[in-house]
Amino acid sequence: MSEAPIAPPILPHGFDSHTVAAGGIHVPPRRPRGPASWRLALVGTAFAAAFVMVGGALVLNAAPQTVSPAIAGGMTESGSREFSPRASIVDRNGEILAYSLPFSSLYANPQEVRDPEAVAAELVQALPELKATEVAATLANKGREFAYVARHLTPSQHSAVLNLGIPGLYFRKEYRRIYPRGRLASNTLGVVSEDHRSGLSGVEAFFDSDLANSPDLPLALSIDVRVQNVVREELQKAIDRFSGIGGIGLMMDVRTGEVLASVSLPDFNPNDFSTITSETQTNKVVGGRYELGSMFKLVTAAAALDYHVATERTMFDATKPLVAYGHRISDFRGEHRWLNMPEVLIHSSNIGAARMGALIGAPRMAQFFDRLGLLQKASIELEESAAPIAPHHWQEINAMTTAFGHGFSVTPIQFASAIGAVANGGVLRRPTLLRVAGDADTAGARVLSEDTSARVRRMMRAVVVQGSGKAANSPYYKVGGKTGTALKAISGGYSTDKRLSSFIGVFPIESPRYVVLVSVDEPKGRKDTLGFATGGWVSAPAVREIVERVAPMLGVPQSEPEKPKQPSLIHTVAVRVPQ
Amino acid sequence: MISRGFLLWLGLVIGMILASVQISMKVEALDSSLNKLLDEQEIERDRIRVLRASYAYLTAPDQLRPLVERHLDLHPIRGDQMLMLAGLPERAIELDAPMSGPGILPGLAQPLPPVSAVPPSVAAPAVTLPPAAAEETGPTVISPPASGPPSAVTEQAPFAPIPRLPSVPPVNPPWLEAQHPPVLQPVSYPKDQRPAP
Repeated sequence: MSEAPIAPPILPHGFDSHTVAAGGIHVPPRRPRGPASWRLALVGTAFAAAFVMVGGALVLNAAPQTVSPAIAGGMTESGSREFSPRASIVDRNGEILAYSLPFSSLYANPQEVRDPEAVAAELVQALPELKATEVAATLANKGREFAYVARHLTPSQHSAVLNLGIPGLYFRKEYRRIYPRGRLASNTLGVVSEDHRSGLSGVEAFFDSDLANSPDLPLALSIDVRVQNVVREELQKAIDRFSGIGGIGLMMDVRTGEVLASVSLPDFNPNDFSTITSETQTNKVVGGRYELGSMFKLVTAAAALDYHVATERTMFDATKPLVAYGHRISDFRGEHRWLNMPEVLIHSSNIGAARMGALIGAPRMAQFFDRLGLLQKASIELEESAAPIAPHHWQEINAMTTAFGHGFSVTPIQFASAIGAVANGGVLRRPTLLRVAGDADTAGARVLSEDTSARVRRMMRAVVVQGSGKAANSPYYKVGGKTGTALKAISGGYSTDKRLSSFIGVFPIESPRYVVLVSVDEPKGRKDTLGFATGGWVSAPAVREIVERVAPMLGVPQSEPEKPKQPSLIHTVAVRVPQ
Repeated sequence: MISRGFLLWLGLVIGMILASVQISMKVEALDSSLNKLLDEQEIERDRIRVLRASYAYLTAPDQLRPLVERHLDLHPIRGDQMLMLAGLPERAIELDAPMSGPGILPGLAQPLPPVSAVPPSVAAPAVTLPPAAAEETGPTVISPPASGPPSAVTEQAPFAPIPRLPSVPPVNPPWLEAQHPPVLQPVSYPKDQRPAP
C-alpha cells in the first residue's frame, strides 16, 4: 500500500516556513555567505589559535621545573647538581663505613679577575695552605674561563673566602667520599677518585656502578665493625711485640662464607691520600700470595683421610731428614721417631707430612687442592683477588713439598675458605663480602666427607691442647687450629731468617662457626720467647685474644669443659710407637 | 559599527589575558616557594649527611676508647660471664596450697611437687666426634716440646685486666668544624675543658 503524499501545512498570514522552524519567532531567511563572513571566520580562527597558544603557555608555566638549589651561603650557585652522592657502604649492623658528604670547591674565571696577584695574596690569607705564586699563576691565565683554586673547603674556609667578596671567584658544590672509621677497613673498602666520579680500588671499585647509580640504597657488607676492630688491634699488638713488618688478619663464617673481618697491615687512611703507597695499598688478604707453611698439613691430612690412603694410626718415619729429588726435608724440632697422623700435626713434622704427601700422590694432591678451590683465584667481590702460584706439572716432589706448605703460594682468603670447608663438615662456600640475609647456612659444594671433617677437627683440637698451638687455647671456648711458620721465598731459595708466622683457628671446634687466620710478616724473636718467633709464639696468642673478645659479641656460648678422663689422641698412638 | 559578537570576543580576550596574567603570577609565586623549599630540603639533607657521618666518626672504637678509659671503669666481657637463656635455672614454684575452683581441672586439684633448681649449664650444639682414635688409651704422656709456647689456659688469671693500647686523643674531622649555620652543638665537655657559664 503506498503512502499518501503529505500536504504542505496551511500557515497563517505573515508566517512562513522559517518562522515555524524558529519556534514561532520570526527569523529572516539565511542569506548566502559573502566576503564579510569569511573575514569574521578568519578572525575567529586567529583568536582561537591565540587562546590555544596562551593556554599552552600557561600549562608549560605551571608545570614543575627543575630548580637548582642554591649553595648555602655561597657566592654564586653553579653546577651544584653536576655531581651526586654515591651510595653509602655500611657494615652488617648498619654502621657507616663510607659516606658521601657535600663540600664547597672554589674556582675562578680568570677572565673576570682583574688583579691576580692581589687576589692571590688575599686568598692565601684566608686559605694559608695555598701558595700565592701558584694561585696568581692560575688566575693570570686569561685563556681559560674555569680554574680550580681550592677543592673541598671546610665550612669555615668557605665562610672566610666568602667574606673577601672578590669578583670572579665562584663556589661549586661537590661531593667527597669520607670514611668515618678511618683506617679500620681501608684495604677492603678501597678509595674513590678525588673528583668522586669512580671507585679506584676495593669494594668501591667492584661495586662502582651500583654505588653511583643507586645513591639511596646502602651497600651492606658482611664486615662487622666490632670484629674488624678487635682483629686489627690484636694483629697490631702481635706485630708491635715481635717487630714485624706487616700482618694479615681474617675472620670468616664457615656456615655462610661471610668475611667478618679482613685486615691487612700496614694500611692507609682513606681520608688522607698521602698515606697511600704501594705497600699500604696492597690488600694482602686477597692480593698477597704466600707459602703458608705447616698450616697446609691440615689439608694434607684431610686428603689422606678422604682418599683413604691413611688413617690416624698410620705411622710415618720421622727418625731422620728425608732426602728426595735433591731436596732435603727436615723438621724444625724433630721428634726423631715414628709419628702417626695426629702426631705429625701436633709436632708439625715436615718429614711426616712429606711422607703423607708422597703416599697421597701428586695427581690426587692436585685434585684435592682443586676441589678446595686452591688452584683458582678466590671469587670474592674484589678485583684485587689474585690467582695462586701452583706447580705447572704436578710431580711427586710437588706433592711432598706442598704437603707441608711450600712450593705452592695461595692467598689467605683462599686458604681460610678451604680450612672452613675442612672444618664445617666438608662444604666449600664461596667467600663473600656481602651480608647474607638470615641465619641459615648458605649453599655450597661438598668437597670432602663429614667423617673426614670430624676427624680433622679432632686433630685440630689436639694441636691446640697438646701441640704447637697451645697458646691459642682458651679457658672459655674450644679452639682448634694449626700453626704455620714458613720461611719466605727469596731469589734462588728461601731466606733463613725471614719468615711468615701464622696460626689458623676454628671456634668453637665442637660446632665450627668461625675461622680466624693471623699471620705476622717477618717477626723477630724476643728474650721472653727464648728467641723464637714461630706461629705458636707470635700468632696463636693473638687468635686466642680475638676469640675471647669477639665470641661474647657474636653470642657464641661458652664451651662445655672437656672431660678430664677423656682419652687423648697422644695416648692412643703412643702405645703403637716402636721404641 | 561594532557588532555584539565582536564585543563578546573582545571581552573574552581581555578576560583571558587578565586571567592568564593572574595565573602566571600565582605560578611564579609558587615556583619561588618551591625553589625555596627545595633549597631548604637540600640544605637539611646535607646537614643530615654531616650529622650521620659525624655520629659514625664519633662512635668509632678508636674514638670511644680514650673516653671510656677516662670516664668509665669497664672491661671487655669474658666468656664465663656469658650464659645462654637455656642455661638459666628454672624458678621453683610454690604450689603447696591446693587449687580449687570451677576452672581447675580435676587432675590439678592436688598440689604439685616443687620444681627443683636445675644446675646451670650451657647448651652446646652436639657434634659427635668419631671415637675411633680415642678407643685405645695408654698411660704414656708425651710432654710438649721445650721450645713450645706456654699454655694459655694455665697462665690465664681469672678476671685479669686486659692490656689496653695507648690511647690517642681524638682529633675531629674537617666536617666537624664550625658550620654555617651550626649543625653540631657540643653535648658535654670534660670537666677541665668546660667553658664558663
